[in-house]
Amino acid sequence: MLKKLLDWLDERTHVKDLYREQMIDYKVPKNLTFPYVFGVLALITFVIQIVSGVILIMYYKPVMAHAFDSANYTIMKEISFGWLFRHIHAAGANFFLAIVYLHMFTGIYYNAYKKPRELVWIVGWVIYFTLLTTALTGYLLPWGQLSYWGTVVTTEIPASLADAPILKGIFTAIGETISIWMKGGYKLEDLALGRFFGLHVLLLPLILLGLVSIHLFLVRAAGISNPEGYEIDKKSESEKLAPFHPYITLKEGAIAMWYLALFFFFVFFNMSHFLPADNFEPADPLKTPPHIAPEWYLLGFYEVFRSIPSKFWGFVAFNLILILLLLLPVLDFSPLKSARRRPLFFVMFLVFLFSSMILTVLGTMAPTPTNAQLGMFFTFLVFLFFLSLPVISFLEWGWYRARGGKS
Amino acid sequence: MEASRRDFIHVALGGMGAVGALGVLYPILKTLAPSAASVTEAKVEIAIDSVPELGMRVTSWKGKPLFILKLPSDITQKYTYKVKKESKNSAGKLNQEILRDKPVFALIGVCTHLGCIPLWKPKGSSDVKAPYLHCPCHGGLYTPWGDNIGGPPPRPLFVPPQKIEGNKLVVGEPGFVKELV
Repeated sequence: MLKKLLDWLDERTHVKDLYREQMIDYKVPKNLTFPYVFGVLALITFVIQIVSGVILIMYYKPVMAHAFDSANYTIMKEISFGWLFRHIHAAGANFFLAIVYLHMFTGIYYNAYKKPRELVWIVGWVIYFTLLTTALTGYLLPWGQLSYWGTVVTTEIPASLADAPILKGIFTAIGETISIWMKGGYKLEDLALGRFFGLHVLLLPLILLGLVSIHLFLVRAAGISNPEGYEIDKKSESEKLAPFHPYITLKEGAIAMWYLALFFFFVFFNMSHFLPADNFEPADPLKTPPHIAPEWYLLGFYEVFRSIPSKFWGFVAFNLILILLLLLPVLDFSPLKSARRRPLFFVMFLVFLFSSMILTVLGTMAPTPTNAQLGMFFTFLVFLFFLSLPVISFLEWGWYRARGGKS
Repeated sequence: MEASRRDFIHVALGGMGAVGALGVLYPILKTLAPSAASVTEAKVEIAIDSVPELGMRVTSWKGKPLFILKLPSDITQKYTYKVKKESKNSAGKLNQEILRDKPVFALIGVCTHLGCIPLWKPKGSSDVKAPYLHCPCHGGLYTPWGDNIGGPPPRPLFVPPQKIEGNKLVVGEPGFVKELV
């Protein structure tokens, strides 16, 4: 019966060809390491966010008078299992960004941004940026104290352009315009909430969906990279490749189960970090909470911004880091790929990895002068990583030529 | 055919996937169930003393008007009602047969004709010389227990599940009435 239905469908749509082409004839390097799984995990988390988000949107009310109650009373207390989907959505946001960061570090480590995968990296960067915007807009919706003041601070950040050493007038005007444009006025009120809501539930997810599709298409088109850092020839080296299904699907499926187990452990037993107690107090525009810091996924940028004495240069610095990330395929023009084959790059990668982690930790600590100095030092190291790439590439071109064009 | 190790992985992973999918589906479907607010609305308690003799209190149960009536014990001797032939509730009886010996009871105050809310006429009128319920929309007439005696209604008023607990009438939990629709 099922077979008949499938045959009927196949006659009309050729799904069997599509399946064979996409699942079995699609070959993947056998030597993929564990970190290559993060892409699939990110995709799973994206699906989780969409499903849980659709359920939350049915009960959430994007107006100031009702936002807090609908999130914390209607959803948490009245709707059967409403709490579960709120927990999933809140934990999912954190897991999504964590997985995306791991995915990005993996990409950097194996140089997956280099020819022929530059577009994969660039689209991936845009996904990351859109994801940060989605996280920021979603953060306001529960209308708690942290939501409100976190957004107040975020919308004030463009105003730091007013600190510019030159062209003060123009920069001030730009900063203020962006800030007002984000809020829809001078205060954070219904207009801003509606705007953030619309972006968070409709526009940004649609953009993400489109970008993720393009990202996946590009991965298929360029072929997946591999830890050894050279392009496997599909014809002469077919023994180094394995069909996507069942080999990779089963392996990644098994890891996905472990991932989901970890995810739901947090959802059911350990939500206090993802839904902090402070945010269960309704937004009060006349009272700032005693301790306010961004979510962990922004702490690195926050520390860069905070430790540089001039607000203007702090603003420039953290935006520059984002832009330098986007420019990785240009900065790193070496013919060699994968940190496994590039000792200098490997060292600088470790410097970058640890500096990012330390900056994130510093972001949680009080802004003492010592911490600010440490923050500046590790900011410098992050920039050193990016600036070292052209130098390393130049050296590696020399070695590459000396060996007669072999890597 | 012997099962290979790959078959085992297929079944194990597929099974876990299926369990996971069911585990996700269950709470998703449950979110569509009535909310906690309507669940608390599904149980109403009325103090028996708060209802005057031959009087009616109106409250609501599951969003519908609920009539609470207290009738004098000699009402069946004083008045006789000519109940229509087709007047039978879902137990195949008259409401009166089930409710008449209770000190108070509750009816769903929705006319079974087209959904209007009947009025309580404790003193009767020139036409019906006994206490009765009168639907103003199309002139449906009911006895105080909700059995239809005239007009277009096809059947008696609905009776919600109810029980008497101490000096309270509890509507929403089955007792002397499970539910008559």
